Amino acid sequence: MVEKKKEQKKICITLNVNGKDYTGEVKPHWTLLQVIRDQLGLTGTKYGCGTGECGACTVIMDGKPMTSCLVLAASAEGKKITTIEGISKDGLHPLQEAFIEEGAIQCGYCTPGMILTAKAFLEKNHHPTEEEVRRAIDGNLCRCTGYVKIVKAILSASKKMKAK
Amino acid sequence: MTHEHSEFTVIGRPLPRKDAMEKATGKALYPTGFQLPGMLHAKILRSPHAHAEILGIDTSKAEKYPGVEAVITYKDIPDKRYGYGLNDQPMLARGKVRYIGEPVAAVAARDLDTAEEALELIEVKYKVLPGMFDLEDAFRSDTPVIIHEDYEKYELQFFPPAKMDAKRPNVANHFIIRKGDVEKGFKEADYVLEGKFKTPRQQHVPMEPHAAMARIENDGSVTVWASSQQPSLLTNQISTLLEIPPSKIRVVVPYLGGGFGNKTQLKAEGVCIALARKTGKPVKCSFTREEVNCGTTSRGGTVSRVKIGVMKDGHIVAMENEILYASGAYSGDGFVYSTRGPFEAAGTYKIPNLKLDSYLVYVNEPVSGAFRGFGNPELNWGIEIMISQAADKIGMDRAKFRRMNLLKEGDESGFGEIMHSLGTDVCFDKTVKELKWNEPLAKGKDKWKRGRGIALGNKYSIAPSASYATVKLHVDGAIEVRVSAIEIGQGSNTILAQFAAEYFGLTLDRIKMVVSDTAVTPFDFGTVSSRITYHVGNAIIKACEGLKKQICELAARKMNVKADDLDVKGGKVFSKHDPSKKIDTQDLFSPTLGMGHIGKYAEIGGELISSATFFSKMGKMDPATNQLLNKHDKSCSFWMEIANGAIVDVDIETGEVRLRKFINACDVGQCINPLLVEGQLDGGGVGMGLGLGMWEEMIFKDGKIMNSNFVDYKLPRAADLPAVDDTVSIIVETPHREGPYGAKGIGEATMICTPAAVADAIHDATGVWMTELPMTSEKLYKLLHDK
Amino acid sequence: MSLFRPKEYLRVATISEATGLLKKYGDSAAALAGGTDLLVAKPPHIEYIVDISHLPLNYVEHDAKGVRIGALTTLNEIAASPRLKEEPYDLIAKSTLEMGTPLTKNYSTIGGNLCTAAPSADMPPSLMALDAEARITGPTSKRKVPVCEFFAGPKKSILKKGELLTEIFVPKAPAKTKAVFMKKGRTSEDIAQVNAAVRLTISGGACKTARIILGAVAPTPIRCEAAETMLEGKKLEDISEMAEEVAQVAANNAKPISDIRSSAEYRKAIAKVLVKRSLMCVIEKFGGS
Repeated sequence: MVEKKKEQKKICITLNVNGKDYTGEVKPHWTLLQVIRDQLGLTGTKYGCGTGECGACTVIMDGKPMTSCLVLAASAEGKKITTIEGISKDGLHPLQEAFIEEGAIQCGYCTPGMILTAKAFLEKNHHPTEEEVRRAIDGNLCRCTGYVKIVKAILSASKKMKAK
Repeated sequence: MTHEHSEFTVIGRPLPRKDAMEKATGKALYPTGFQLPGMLHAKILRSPHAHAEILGIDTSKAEKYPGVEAVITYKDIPDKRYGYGLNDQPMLARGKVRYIGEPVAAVAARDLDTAEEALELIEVKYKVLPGMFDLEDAFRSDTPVIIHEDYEKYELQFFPPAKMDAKRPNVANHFIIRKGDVEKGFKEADYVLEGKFKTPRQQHVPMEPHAAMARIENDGSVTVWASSQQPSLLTNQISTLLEIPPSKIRVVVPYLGGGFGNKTQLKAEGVCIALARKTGKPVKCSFTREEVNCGTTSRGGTVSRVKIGVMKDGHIVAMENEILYASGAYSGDGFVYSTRGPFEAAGTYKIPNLKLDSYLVYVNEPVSGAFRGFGNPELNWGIEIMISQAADKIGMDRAKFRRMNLLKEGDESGFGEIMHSLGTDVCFDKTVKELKWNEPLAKGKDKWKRGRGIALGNKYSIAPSASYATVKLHVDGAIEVRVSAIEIGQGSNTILAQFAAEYFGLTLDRIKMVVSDTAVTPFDFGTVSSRITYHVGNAIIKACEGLKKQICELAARKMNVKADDLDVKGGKVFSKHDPSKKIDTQDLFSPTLGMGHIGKYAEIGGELISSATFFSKMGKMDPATNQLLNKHDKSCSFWMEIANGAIVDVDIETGEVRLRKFINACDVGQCINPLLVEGQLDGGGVGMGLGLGMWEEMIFKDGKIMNSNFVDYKLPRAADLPAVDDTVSIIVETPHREGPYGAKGIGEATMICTPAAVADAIHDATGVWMTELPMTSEKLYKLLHDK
Repeated sequence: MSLFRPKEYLRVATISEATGLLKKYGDSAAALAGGTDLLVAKPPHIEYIVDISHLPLNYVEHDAKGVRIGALTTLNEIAASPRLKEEPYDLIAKSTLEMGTPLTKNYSTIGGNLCTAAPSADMPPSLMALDAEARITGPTSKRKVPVCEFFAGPKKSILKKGELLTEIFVPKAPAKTKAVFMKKGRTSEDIAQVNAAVRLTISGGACKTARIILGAVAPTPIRCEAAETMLEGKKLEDISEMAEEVAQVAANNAKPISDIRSSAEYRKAIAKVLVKRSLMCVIEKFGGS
């Protein structure tokens, strides 16, 4: 006797990612993270834990950073989603420049999520204290840097972004 | 802070990384991101039991599940085992499972959902056996559970070979140090103190989980994209397990999202290759975070005893250590770290009489493996606390006591070798200064009691080991460096490029790094043991010397001068005694038979390319004592020395500890790139070192991980750590006489003595000694409040 | 099957659609709000995901009667809400600070925190200290339940099949009401080992109403009524003197378990410390020393 595949009703959705619309079918349990990576081929957003604790899968949705592993793809329809691939059209975002200059990147796996969280944070808080920066990135784990140069990079970027 | 020396143009400069841009934009490729058309997805079925006999495996339902293309078990692969010196581990369980998480079968399906669903259809019948989980019970000679009955039949590949203890059936290795006469030393000592210590299992938590992808090429050879820090080792393990000749195996490693020792041995690769062979299609296997926890390696827990004998005048007379390292169910890298972790006792202090016994002990838990520090932090923990206790006993300042007992240039290590290129005293003095050790400590505010602590440590880089490097001159004057060093985040691509750039007087962008593809890049021992800068750097310099020789010989013909009159710098070949006589390196190449559109070539000698080997020897040791027969020989490639300082605030009512200041000073020889070295000091010290010290612990119950998630496996987050200005990373430079431009290494040194420095500070604040890691608030509360 | 493979995803636009589907599918349906509990648990028995995240239940309103918080208001929105800055309602905002992560709190909802009903949840103690009320809508009727009575046991609320928590109402606090929330975790963001909320309402120089709530030390968050009674009628200076004793009585209410986060003994000890410190902190807010 052959075990049959369970029937799951696929849903046709349109996702707006980095200003472009993508239409396709998703299963009810598929997360936004897996659709971004596997269906859309945007692998800048990373899988780290699948339970919303590490922040490697951070994307910005309607201006708010969120762990995409805890968002169902189906429920993300209608939101404006930004991934790391979409934050700079001409040249680098000040945060990307600051991360490079300050040496805030080592293995680079947490970097996209970290930069997106920082971007959303700095757009709301133009004069952050160090403590506020640390609180803001508390949901983004980094195993390489001890956060030291990441904090420095975000503070440095905040000055650049203020100047613009 | 600059580490620039006027004689260097590129060495010592805080240059941004070569890979920073692609990582900042999300374009960098990691194993988890690879895809191939027609690729199948693999999932591994793992044992739910810590110790059980396999009575039968029925894969028939899974094989028929729609979308499944193959299922494999031990029946589909040769009866072989692998390991890291002691080959005790099967790729898929055969006959028995020995830990929860052990791979038993694997499925390849057209999509990931199908692979996951098919796993549930594989039926395995087990006969559960009693498990052994307690390290000290496993160590006993009358231990009730024997985990490897056939231990004596296993293949050994290490020199010196594993020393099992016939009286202790779960001991996989026993390493000793015998220097002087400890019994005599303890009799002479004015005071003898003893302590018992424990360290937990710590998971590396590389941010990127493991992944592998395998493709069988048309000629039957294998290409595997791997999460591997050691492609040569992986090639060897694949060759052994699947009976494929090494020349038919190609290992490609892109960037890795963190390594820390977690990605040394075969993990997903074997299963991918076996399934790719069975299906004829490429197969990819990506681990979940839970699989990283139970299905890869972690730092094994330890129990240790330290006994120290001191004189009233402050001299250490004798030290005795016994340490049990939990191996997990298989030896993993444990075979080597139980032999090398003991170096910690040998490399910091002058101890005339030293007796050490190190044991690797099997328990029915996931496999222990290499983890930054490689057995040293575990041993350092007990040693440093006893050093402080000894100082207190004789009424001497703890810093002063350490300083007077340090190994200095020309002293003998615990292995009897003459030590040189030591920067311990500089690391120490700078840490003491930063801590304002000799000034009164400001009091903590409100509920906080403040304390200050210091600790020292050392880390060797393993010998014997070897690296190759190949360097090539391109027609446009760029220099290509081919090495099998893995960019795990430490910055090897940049550092190694800096060596070639310095040698040829070029800027970094003129160096092309071709790394970690064994079709092209040469042998390397591996990106482990903080060895890449030193070994690959040296190999690159040697290869550059060879390349320069070729360049000069070719240029000599073109310029009509003697080759040994020529030098190469900044893209030019010039006469040493008349620098106006010069040509561009690009001009060494001629247009192809007058048809320039086909490209340029070197008229004689083939490519302008040179390879070199750099090999670090280990001196012969007396097997009865592990003392070097010749004290001018080396026990390792080089030593790194570290000092850590900490200021903590303790809330006596709750046991909560907050770190207010942290200092990490390390002697790296010549610093090649201070931006990258600081990154290592920050991450290893304040990140991982504090993690091990304060919060991280894999909690097991009967072999099952109870906290296999980041909710309950507590990693330090940004808000848990001290401010940037209070995190002081100090680079100390004591050039090493054999290092490339004097360089040594850094990676592992950064977390050797961090927990001990914090424990010292907690004792200063509260009068209480913590002896078990991690130092949680609950543990401290109990020590403070239990009467 | 032990895998999360729901048959269907259903997005609803009205509350009655939601309650209708939740009633229809009963135990095999799950309401998806923020998703930060549901998509971590991934319960294999769930066949229908009812996405309620687009319902108009995201608001914080403040009027003469008190504060109304829509069940879908996210924790970050609560933390930043200008309508929750005034004492003692700021307690609710402060309770969010050490929960989850700054990212998940953009999606986690106050309703989700209550309905998941973990004994260690951080929102309930503050709400209970302010006598908050849970407003529930079912397929055919509505009801109101004090938050103190909302929890039936670990991870179990009193919601019946088809019911949806739609709003939390915090009644206008009497004048001279101050409250404090404290939490002990293992790191900066953690599930509480113990949490506590303490509220005092003073009238005529003496304590009129006291609320002492402890979380993570019993199957549900608990009111320590014996300790509260000790405080009624006492002057602030007296409360200061007896804080230790009151805290001990409160801690005696605690019946914690030992788990991987903490032993029962430690939880009891910390419960006492948190209650004592919270009391002293509330006294300080009143200007007492």
